[in-house]
Amino acid sequence: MDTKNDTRNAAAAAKMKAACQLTKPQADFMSCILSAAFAAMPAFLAGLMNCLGGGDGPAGDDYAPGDRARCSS
Amino acid sequence: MNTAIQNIALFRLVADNPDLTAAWIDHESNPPTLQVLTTAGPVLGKLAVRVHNEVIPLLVSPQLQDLPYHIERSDPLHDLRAPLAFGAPLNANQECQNEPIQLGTQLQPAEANWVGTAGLPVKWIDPNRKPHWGILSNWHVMCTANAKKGHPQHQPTDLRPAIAHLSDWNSVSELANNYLDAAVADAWLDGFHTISPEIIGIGPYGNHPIDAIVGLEVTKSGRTTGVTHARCSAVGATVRIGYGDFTALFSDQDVFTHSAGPFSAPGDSGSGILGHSCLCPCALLFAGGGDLTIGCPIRYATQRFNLVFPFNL
Repeated sequence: MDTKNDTRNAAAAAKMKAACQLTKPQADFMSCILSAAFAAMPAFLAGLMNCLGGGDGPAGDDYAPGDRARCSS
Repeated sequence: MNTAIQNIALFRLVADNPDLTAAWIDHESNPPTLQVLTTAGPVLGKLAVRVHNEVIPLLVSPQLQDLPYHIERSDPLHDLRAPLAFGAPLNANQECQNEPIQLGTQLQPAEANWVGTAGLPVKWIDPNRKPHWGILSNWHVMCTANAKKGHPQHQPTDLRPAIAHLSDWNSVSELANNYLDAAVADAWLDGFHTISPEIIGIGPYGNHPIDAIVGLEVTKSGRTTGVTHARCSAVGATVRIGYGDFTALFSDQDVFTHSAGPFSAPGDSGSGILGHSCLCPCALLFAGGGDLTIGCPIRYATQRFNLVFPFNL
């Protein structure tokens, strides 16, 4: 057994692990934010338009009387 | 006595005396007088009635017992729906209309076996600040058992296309002290509103709601009696209303007495009651009996549904 090598390898692994703990989650978080932002963009824009238009429900923002037949039966 | 205490005292008076149909304080008389209506009789002229040869004293709360009083016999009061009928229309309010539909017309919720009146064309703002245009009528007209938002509302029968969909309602409880029997249905369908701002036989109504006052001359357009007139005979009344399978008490209601011919009949529930001179909405018709018609003050509907006036602004 090469005890010296084992010790060196263990130290390198520990260093890698520490580095990953610092950087990998950070990278995942940023990519998550970016992908979530892009994925949510259509919903966000729809929500924004909805808010500007006044919320949920039917889309009539002005009174628009119809002239359709309603006595067919 | 302030209004809140007066409402509680009148509610207790009617609640504790099952034969009473209505009670209010007539502030127009000097001194103010307690007015009481009862189905029991004969009336003895004091706060007691004779029932099966037994004199029954009326229970009166301390706030009311020092007032002079006037007690009269009356018919029971009941909601003013009518059974669904399949005959030819009897007046303009029963004719089927194409768009834009003037209100005061008859209305039937899908699968219901009754009709009432689609009373007032109204605009309201929902919690998301979005405007809606639709129909104000009664809860007991537009809501079937287990009513759900979106329930279709038709010109009878429900073979015809819907003209609106139930949006919100204020239900009536047998156990509570009620103030409002009302619902709104959204008239937006496939890109257009089905309804007109006008009321059959009246035209457009006034731009702002008012409170009824004693002596106010009023008019309404309803499914059964069409356009009729009356006078406000009391405000702030507590009334007992029969709903077929239950009875409910209401506080702070407006009472109307007909001028010539009946002001209302079954089928007129849901009509908007308008001050005659400005055609301003003051109450929502929902019950009656004998020569009396009962309306919920329109201010309760305005607050509950966030109604805004005028309709087409």
